[in-house]
Amino acid sequence: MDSNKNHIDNFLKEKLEDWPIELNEAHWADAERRLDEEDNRKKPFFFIFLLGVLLIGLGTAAYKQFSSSKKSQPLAQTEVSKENNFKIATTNKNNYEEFSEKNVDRGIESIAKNTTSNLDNKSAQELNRVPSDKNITVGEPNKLQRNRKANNLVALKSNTNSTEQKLDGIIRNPKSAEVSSRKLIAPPNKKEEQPSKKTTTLAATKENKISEPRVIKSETNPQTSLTRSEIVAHKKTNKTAATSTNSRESKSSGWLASATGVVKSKNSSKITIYKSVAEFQKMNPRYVKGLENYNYEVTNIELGPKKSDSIRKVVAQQNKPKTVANYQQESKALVRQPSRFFILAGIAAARGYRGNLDANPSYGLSPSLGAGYQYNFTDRMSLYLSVYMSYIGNLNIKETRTQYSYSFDRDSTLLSVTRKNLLQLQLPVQVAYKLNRKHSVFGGIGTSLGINTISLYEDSKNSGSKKQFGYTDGLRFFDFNASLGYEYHISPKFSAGIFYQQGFLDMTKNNYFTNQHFDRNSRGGINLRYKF
Amino acid sequence: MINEETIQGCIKKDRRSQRAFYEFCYPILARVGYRYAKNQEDIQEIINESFMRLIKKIERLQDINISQEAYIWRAGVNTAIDLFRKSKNYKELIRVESSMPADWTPMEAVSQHEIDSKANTQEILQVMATLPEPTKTILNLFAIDGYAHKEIGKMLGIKETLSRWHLHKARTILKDKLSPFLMKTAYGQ
Repeated sequence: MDSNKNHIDNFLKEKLEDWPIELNEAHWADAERRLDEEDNRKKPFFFIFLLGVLLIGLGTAAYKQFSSSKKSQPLAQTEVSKENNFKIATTNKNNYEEFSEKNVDRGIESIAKNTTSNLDNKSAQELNRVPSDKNITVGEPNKLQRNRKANNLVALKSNTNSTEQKLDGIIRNPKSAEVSSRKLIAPPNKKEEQPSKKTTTLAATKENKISEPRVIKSETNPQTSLTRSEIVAHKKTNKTAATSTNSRESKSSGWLASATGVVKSKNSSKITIYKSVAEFQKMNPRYVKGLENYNYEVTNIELGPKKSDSIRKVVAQQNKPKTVANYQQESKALVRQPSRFFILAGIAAARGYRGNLDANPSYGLSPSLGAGYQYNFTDRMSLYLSVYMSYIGNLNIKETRTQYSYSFDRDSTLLSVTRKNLLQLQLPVQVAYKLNRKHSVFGGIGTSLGINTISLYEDSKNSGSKKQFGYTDGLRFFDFNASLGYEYHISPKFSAGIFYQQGFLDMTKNNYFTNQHFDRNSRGGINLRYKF
Repeated sequence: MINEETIQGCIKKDRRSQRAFYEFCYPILARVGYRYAKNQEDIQEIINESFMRLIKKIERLQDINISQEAYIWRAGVNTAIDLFRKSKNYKELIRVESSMPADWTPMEAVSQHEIDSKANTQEILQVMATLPEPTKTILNLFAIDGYAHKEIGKMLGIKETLSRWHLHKARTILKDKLSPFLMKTAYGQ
């Protein structure tokens, strides 16, 4: 009888390990359905795309940042004369040029009042030595004041009656002309040798008085590589002394200086002025009215130090026609900033989860800290690529169990794990739109990647509790979200903003907590951004 | 044994190859499913979830050191354990710890669990279905699938002692419930 006895484990194994089973077609139908779902399931292109954009953006940003830091040299600030308060400042770093009409006016007026006596003889002599050519040359910054004075001759009124002036091949006889300014006039034959591209400095003629200094800014010939020219002219309004090509003499005693030829300084960079009559009329019809028979042409201007040619680059970047009004408006409005890195810190109210305690979720403070890169598409439109750490509080998850240990007697310990915070890595991609200098709005999408949980671990044997990582069961560690916000620019580098971020996925696994709650991430708060 | 052509067909998502692979896997996975699951839905879930896991990484079948059947069987057991861990019965397994008798010791005589039964497979499965879910799982893992208590403890996150106690409980219940099959066989005819 005992020979039939078998250990129950062997008995079960013998009976259950190998027994015939026929395929259930219902099971196959379900498997087919799963296979179809798997085939139709869209791969996470969005996530891959987002990561790609982020990586490319950060890579580009890093490349630009490092390459620009090597190449960039501060542009010379072409301040003409402090005493004349004439200022044309260019800054390579900001690709921004500011031009003040008032300053120009004041400067010219000051020059006019003092006449050419304000010019130092050295400048005049230097200018006079230069043979005529098609260009006017402006010196490097350290020579700038002197050379700018020479340039100002183009807008300088001659209040003497002593000499002839030649304007683009036309001999004028202004009633007064300063000797130093007369020296700037090039011989007529050199003008006529190169009529197609005349180098000139124009000014309105005037009799004995100077009034209403004006600034004319004109655009360059589009065929040239340069984009903008500047003409400083001065006009008399009560009387206009016309200059005629026929008369070859000007009875005007108004101011006019014509620097025909090249003005070269030792450290030279050239200015070539191109300007058609029609264009000049358009710019200053009152002035051109008296010069309608005068055939002059201002071609273009090249500014800046010759070696680096940096101002030329700055000018070349300006594609749109601009007037003084444009500059003034721009100087008050938006200034396009270069793309740059930033650091980000903030604090938000984050909605907790229901978890397994079935308590209504409450909001807790959620600090965040990170960094990112701002890429500027235009003056107004920017892209923020950020990476920052934050956490969600109020997880509402508490699990207890009793642990037994056996030695001389059985002993039990009550263990309790309360999950407090879920650490997350946020990867938002946001587009910001600058409403004006101070205000921006931004919005975008992003992903949240869970890193770990911080839990409070307690046991009945010890009175205290300790924080532990790693209790992650039941939580989803990936989420998509969208964000929206507003930003106030306290300074060009520092800004403060408010934002709201809404997640889309259920962050708690219902089959783990055996409930049907839908716990989405949602956060709203403030952040501070400092741009380098 | 699954041939190379079927594996390549499954990689290319050819439905006939997938069907062939399913027919190969089905008996192995179904035996696991019938032992671990408590109802038909769970059986289907274990079979098909295991099948989906296998077919997603079917190229591994070419490189494994063990037999394809053993690989598929292991995949079925892992799926069954994963589903069990997700179920609320997993928590019950932890709670039942407190009901373990204080004077129980894991030392048992081998003869204590000897059985002489004529029950067939279906009858055994019916009896096993009456076992508490955690107890049945541990019995399956230890007695049929060959896992040690230490491994079971790691898989389920419990102590070895608890695993032993559940096994003892399962054996006792089965012995009591399978005895009538012996009586029926001996005297019923």
